[in-house]
Amino acid sequence: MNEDEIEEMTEIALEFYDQIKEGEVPKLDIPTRTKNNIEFDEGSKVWKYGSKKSTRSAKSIRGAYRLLKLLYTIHFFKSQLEEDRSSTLRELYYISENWENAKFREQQESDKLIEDLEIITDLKREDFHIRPEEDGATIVGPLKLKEKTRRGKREIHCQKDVGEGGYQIPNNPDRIEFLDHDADFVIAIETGGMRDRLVENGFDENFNAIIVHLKGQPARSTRRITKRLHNELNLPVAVFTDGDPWSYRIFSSVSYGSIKSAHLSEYMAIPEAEFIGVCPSDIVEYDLPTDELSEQDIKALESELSDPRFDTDFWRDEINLQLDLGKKSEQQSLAKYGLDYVTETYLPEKLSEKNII
Amino acid sequence: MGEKPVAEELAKNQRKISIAEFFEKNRQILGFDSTTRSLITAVKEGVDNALDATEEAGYLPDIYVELEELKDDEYQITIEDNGPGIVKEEIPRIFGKLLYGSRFHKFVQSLTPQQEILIKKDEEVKFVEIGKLCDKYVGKEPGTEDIDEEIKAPCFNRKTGEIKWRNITHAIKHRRKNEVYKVKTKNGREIKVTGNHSLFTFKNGEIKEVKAEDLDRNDKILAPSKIPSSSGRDKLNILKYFNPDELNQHNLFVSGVSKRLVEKIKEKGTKVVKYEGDSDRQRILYKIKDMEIRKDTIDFVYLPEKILPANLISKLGWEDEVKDKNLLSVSRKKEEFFPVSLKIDEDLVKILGYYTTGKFSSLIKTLDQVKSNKKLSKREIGIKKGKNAVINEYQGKLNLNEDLLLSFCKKITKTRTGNKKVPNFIFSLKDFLQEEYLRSLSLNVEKFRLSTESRRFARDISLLLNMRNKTCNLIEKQTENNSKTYQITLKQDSIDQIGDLTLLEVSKTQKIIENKPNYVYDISVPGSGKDENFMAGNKGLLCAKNSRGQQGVGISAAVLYGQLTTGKPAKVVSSISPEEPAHEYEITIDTEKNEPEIVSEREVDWTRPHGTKIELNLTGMYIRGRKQSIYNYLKDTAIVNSHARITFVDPYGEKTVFERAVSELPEKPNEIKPHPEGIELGTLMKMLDETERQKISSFLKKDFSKVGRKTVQKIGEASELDLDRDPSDIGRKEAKKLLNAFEEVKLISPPTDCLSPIQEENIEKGLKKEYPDADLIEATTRSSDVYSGNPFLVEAGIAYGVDEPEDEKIDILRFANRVPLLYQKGGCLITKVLKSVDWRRYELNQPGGSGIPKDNAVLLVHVASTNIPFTSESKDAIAKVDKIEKEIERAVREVGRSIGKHLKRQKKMSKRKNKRDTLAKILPDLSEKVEEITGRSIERDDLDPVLARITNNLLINTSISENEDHYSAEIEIKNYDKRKKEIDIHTSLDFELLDAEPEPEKILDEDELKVTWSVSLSSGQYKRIRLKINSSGKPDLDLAVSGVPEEILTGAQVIEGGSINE
Repeated sequence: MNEDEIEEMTEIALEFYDQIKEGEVPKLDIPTRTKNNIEFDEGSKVWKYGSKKSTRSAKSIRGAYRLLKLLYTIHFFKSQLEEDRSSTLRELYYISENWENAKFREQQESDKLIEDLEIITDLKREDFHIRPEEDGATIVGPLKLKEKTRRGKREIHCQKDVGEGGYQIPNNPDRIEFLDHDADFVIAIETGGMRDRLVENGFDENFNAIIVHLKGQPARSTRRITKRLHNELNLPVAVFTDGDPWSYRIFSSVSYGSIKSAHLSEYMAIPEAEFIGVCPSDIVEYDLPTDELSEQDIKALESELSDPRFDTDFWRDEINLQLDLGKKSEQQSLAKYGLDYVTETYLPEKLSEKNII
Repeated sequence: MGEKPVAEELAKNQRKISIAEFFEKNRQILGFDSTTRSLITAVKEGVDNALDATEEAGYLPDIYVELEELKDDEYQITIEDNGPGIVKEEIPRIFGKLLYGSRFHKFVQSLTPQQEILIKKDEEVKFVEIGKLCDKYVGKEPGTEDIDEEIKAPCFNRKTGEIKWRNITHAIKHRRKNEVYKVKTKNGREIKVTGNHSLFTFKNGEIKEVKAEDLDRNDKILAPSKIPSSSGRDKLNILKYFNPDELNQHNLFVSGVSKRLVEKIKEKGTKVVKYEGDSDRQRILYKIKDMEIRKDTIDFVYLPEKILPANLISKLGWEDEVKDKNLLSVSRKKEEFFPVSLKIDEDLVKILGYYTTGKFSSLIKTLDQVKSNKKLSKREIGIKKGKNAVINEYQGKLNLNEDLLLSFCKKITKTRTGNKKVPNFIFSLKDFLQEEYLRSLSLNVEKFRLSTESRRFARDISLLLNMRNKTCNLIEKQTENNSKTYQITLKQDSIDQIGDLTLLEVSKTQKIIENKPNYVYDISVPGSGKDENFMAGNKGLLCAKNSRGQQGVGISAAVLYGQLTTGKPAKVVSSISPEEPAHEYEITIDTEKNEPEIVSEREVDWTRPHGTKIELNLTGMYIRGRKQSIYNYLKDTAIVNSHARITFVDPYGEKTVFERAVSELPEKPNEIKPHPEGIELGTLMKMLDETERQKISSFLKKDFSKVGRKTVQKIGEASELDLDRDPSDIGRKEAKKLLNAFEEVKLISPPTDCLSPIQEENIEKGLKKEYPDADLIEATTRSSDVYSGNPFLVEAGIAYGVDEPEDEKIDILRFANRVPLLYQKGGCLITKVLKSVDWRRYELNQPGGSGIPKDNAVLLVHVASTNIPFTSESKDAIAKVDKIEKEIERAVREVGRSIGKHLKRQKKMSKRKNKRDTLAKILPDLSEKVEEITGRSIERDDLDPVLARITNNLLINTSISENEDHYSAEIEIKNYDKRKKEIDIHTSLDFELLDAEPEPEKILDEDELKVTWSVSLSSGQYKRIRLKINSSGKPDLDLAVSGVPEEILTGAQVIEGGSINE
């Protein structure tokens, strides 16, 4: 059971074993995970890690601790796979409490280490039987699907069988089977408020849209199901966020993959996804209520200007415009023109601009 | 030199006043101004005396100090030494000498706040009210403060009568206790002082102090007849005499300014964009203060024309940057040029004089004269300008246009009759210009006569006449309309001329009844020797004696303090030899006669074979553990006097012994003759007067140090004096020539064996004994150097890792001639230097890279000199002298470097050790996990090379295998470090060694056979030792290694004797 996965991980430990026996200092090379080392893969049209490698070596105290934690984690996963059990990211962090020298200082550290392990082994964390906590992201729309649950298989229609809250995306969307749909496109929304507005205004029914709630920076499961809707059902994807630098990063992780999980880009990124707003140019064109850019906002925008994923005419113009304006706007600011304005005017205009409707 | 007779003289004077009163007034300078300081001062005086007495007699000092609290705030101080002891006959001399001696004199005397005194600051001579001057430094409350700027006062030399500008060192403010007197002279001068303030008189061929309250009509007092004028200014910067608005009114520009300066406007200003009305045209402006300058103006006018508005220059304070440029005056009719720096010539001072006295016809005549002078062509002065330009450059003559000139005159002379004045710069002009100015006021300077309603103008003229070696009468007259006029006439040459001084007759001494000030003021102007005086006066100057403090006050001040505060006599027990019985004397000071008196005497038993014990009762407050405490004073003294044992019993009965670390007395410094460099004229004249030599040549050779025959010859040539003459025939003028010759001739530096350094090793020993926990102690004694003829040397020491908190400022121990300096730390040169050094370079914690470092260290600095420059007479802090400053810096940097080197290595080692320890913990953990995951086993030995490699260590690995008839062992050594290693590997043989390759060295040590291999490995090198062993069981091969620190070795033990081999 799970033998391939176990072997992949044991391989790493064996490498260390050989090194020690040779009198060498244990070390491990993994691709560098910064924005300087992501490259656009022409074949899959997604951003992937480039050829730059960083070395984790026991030569330094920090490196030694990292390798030790990695080995503890491998050992834990190995027994978890052998016993065919699973745990969440948070659980792993707490389990490490007993690991003495290998204890994680914060969950971010263990999360990051798992990503390292994914990259080294070319496996996904699901393969290690590790999953995130329920994210709570939802979809609503004319879609019928079948989900394998622990209580058996369920068939669900994402409009008729769910409440206004929508269908909750499970941790591993690959266990879902799409049965039927009536949708013309997928619209991914950043904020809960805007999602609720669209649902209340019947946008999904009126425009045959599948509304995916991203809940801020989207979880892997959310990105994966959106990717599947796009790939398998051949639906165009529109992303609708606030008009600030952090929201552009949300779009870019849907569209191009995130820097820290570029190894999974092929599996989750949707290069064809369209950003429909709120753009800095909307602030001017729709004369939206605004807030001042904070110092962090400005830094984030400047950093995006050097991010290869934003190296397009569209983004350069928009970001520079925003820096000039010194302003940002939220999705909700469209309510300036009334509650229906977004569903009756703004979105139709934007979507037709992108040839989605 | 020259100090002794001064002391005697003063002692005579002092006997005249009640010593109790005297003491009361001088507490601060004496060091008895606060209850805590009183105790410290008393102990300090006692211990200083004891050290001197024992060392002089050639005994190693063994000093005992005990403090006992008798009742609240009353203490008994006991100080014992093992010196030669004193006999009864010596008591009046010793106590008397100390009381009246050179180290103990000061008058408190004061001027009223509005009393004007003459000073010189930034080469500008002026009158200031003493109250205003002092309040600036002292503030609201009375006290004494250092004056840290260069402000000078004229000060005469008692011997020669010569007046020189000398630095004012202190500002002093008292609460008034005495009556205030106004002393008037017949020729119109007056001064307001406290009754006990000394002016000067001349009696029996000597200058003497005389108290204001004792002056009667017809008594004579000293006044300056000649004030030295200043260096000779010849230019003044017009821009500095007008404010920006006035410059603007005159439409003035500065021409010929550099492009860089114009561009600087853009940097200085704030850029503002403005739109004009509704139009789209943008205007860029630069805002500077309240001025707005358009960018276009800068780019299209100022830059190409190389001009800037004069008011802008003035606002920006750039007057000095353009002092070599020209001013451009723009009017509708013409453009005129003239230099920014106006040349001060006869014409200008004449015009000023005429203007002030309202002689307008003469003024116009002069102006016309000036104008008719030849005008230079544009080309001649190299300015390109438009066709209307008139170049107002007169060769060597006045150059300013009339408008501006008259504004200038008005501005600086204030012609409103009541407050007319002489422009300040006149006082710093060359002699002939001052004469010219005076002449413009009153045609015949030899019969100078002037009448004015301005007291200020009269006073200024009086000073100016003084500068021209003339003394004037200044008679105040009431006019009909009830205003005053002052009539100035020249005083007839008097026979009472002493150098630059003259005697004036007193007309009236008047006690002031009304409006008596609450505070009175004084300044300190240390002159040469005893001469402390300055010049004051509201209508012409008089000489005034100023306060003077002195260093250590002597044990007798402590005796007197005790007597005054507790009413009890001091007890002195003395033994001069073990054969003689010890005597106890009770001593009081007769405050009327101001003499010590023995009130009782008896024989007593005393354990010391010889020595002196002094017991004093006095009120005070004992504070434990503060920086300025008796304990710290004694500790610091013990550090620099490591040949002394000092025992201290505090009021809580706690006994501390500061044990001696050296059992040799310090070398006695050689007494030296004066060195010609830096000698004062007065001292030289006194030496000439008193010498027994018959010829100047032998006087120079014998009475000075480092003056040989050749030097004498050169001095003779330079001074143009006949060196065969009798020294006593040499007058003031010739003495001055001699002095100038000293400066001209290259002299050999004075000998420096007159200094008494503590010595490097004694500093180290002294620190070691008081800071036994210190990890590192370093010290240095710099070689001696000379400043202004005074030899000096600097020593420094540092103790690092002492038992002090790490995050507090390090302790600084300051010493001057072996005496700890406890007070005025902030004002001391030593502290200043220590603050400026970047101690981080030497691995000390110094947040921000400046200031006193915060670390667990102690820094010691000792300055030894024949003449330590103190900032004040209380001798608590060393003043800034460039050469001493440099030496202090070199000394502390030297010790800083030494400990920095050690600390760097220590830190590196501890980092290395930390890394090794951590990895030694993690690596086994890591290999265990690898074992668990892979199911393959890893031996502990497998990890050693990894660890050695990671930590750049030296790895020693031993393996033993069993053969048929013997064991073979293999010692592998690998050097993973970057440096070459030379080590010794030792093992004791509790088995039979059949063979070894290579062959070890064998030693029989305490019945045990030991073998040693010396191995040398360069970086990365690997070596192997093979052993053949005969043993019944598996042999134990315990290896010990020397030659590497523990941090660097993996796989074996390091034993003692291992030195860091890097």
